[in-house]
Amino acid sequence: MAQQHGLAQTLVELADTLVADFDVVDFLHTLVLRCTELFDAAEAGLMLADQRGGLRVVASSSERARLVELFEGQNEQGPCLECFRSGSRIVCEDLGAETGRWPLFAPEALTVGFRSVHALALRCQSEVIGALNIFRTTLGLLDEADLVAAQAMADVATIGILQQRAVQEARVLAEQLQLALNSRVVIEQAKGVLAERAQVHLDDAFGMLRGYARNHNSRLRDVAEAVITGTVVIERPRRPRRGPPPVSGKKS
Amino acid sequence: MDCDRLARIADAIGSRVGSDPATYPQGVCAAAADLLGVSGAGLTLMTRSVLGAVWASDTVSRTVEDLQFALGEGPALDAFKWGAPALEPSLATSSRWPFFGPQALALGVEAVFSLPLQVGVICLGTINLFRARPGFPSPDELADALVLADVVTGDLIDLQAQGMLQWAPSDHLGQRARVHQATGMVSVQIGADMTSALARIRAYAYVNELSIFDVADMVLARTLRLSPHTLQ
Repeated sequence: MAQQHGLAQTLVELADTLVADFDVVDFLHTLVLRCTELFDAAEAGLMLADQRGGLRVVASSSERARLVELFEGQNEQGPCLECFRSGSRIVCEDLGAETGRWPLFAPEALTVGFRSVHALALRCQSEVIGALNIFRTTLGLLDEADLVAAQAMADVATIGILQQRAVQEARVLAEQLQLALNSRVVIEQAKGVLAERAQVHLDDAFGMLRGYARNHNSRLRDVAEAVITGTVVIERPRRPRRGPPPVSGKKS
Repeated sequence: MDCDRLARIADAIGSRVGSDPATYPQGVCAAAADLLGVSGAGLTLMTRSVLGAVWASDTVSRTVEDLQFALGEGPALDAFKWGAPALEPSLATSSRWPFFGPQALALGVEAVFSLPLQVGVICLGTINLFRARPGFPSPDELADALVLADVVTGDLIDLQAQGMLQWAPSDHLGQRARVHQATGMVSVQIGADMTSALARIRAYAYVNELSIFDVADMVLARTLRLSPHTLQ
């Protein structure tokens, strides 16, 4: 049975990491390790859904190859997959009795030495982002208090991951903003560069930039950048000819 | 976070901003000037220390912002570069900005406080507060200012996420667009990069006691041509 004191301590420890210098990988690793201690579990692991809806192991209490394979196999079948799909807790007190339910997963888990398994959903309102897996070498289920505690751990993991994602998103948007602003500056500078090189008016210079961008299916900002660095040279547009072209073919 | 403070500041901004996102930056300046017991406020968006876009609550503040752009020196640039507030309660007794300081004082600004708009390691720009009397902001005012900076950063990110920050050609750059155009021309004239070209323009303006915008106009009108070899 998990010590209430131990759980409280763990939650405080994990909450502490949800501040500056937050390292989500480190955080999740600590979380699964604490799970093994709190619930007398042999191993614990955390799986998250990727963009295609497949489950990936993001934290595991050990790097044992067979453990990792056991987790990854749950992409096809197993308590984690069911938990992820349903958003509900999936528990099994005797893996030996579930070889019908999980014909690939159950025998493998038994071979590795596990007798019971718990899978808790990482869930925020209606969105399920993954599952927390707890493997024990003993038969039987965690008691109600421990189940509540295990769900609390899953919830803490969810908050940490979602916070980290929000920060990532903000960063991406900030970069976009910066890029947009910088693009304006670069385009103005390129207008000047072209106006001077080709000895044309600024409006004509802008026309030359846009024309080149259109003809080469490029973004204005990219053309501007290239003009500045000299990788692209845009010729001044030729005046329309009034007579026959010069015999020598030289540019006027 | 003090929830009352946050609500108060969000309200103050909200009440001064129209539904058009283009009015947001201006609204923020007005809110900052009223809220924080300062004479005026400016908001700048910057990349790589180029003051890209600027808004201000009044003409004096606007001039002070332009001054920083013209001189390449000032609290906004420091705050942007270091990702930390640049607080100067007494320009008159400070030698921190040898060119900006005296000129800001001449405009009636005695104290300046610049706060970066930070998203992690990315700095979007700064909120700049100007005061006509020397002295530090009170702890309450400073807390308000920091929360304001946070709120504005979040709002800008939200506007960006909704695709509502449209950068119309030259609009938000204002007359700075002409400086950037002139920079492009000068870079070709002196055969150097943009940073050197801008430095030349600034130097010319300073030596000849002209505004950077006037020099830019002269370059664009082709009445001024800078060359690599003269001191001009």
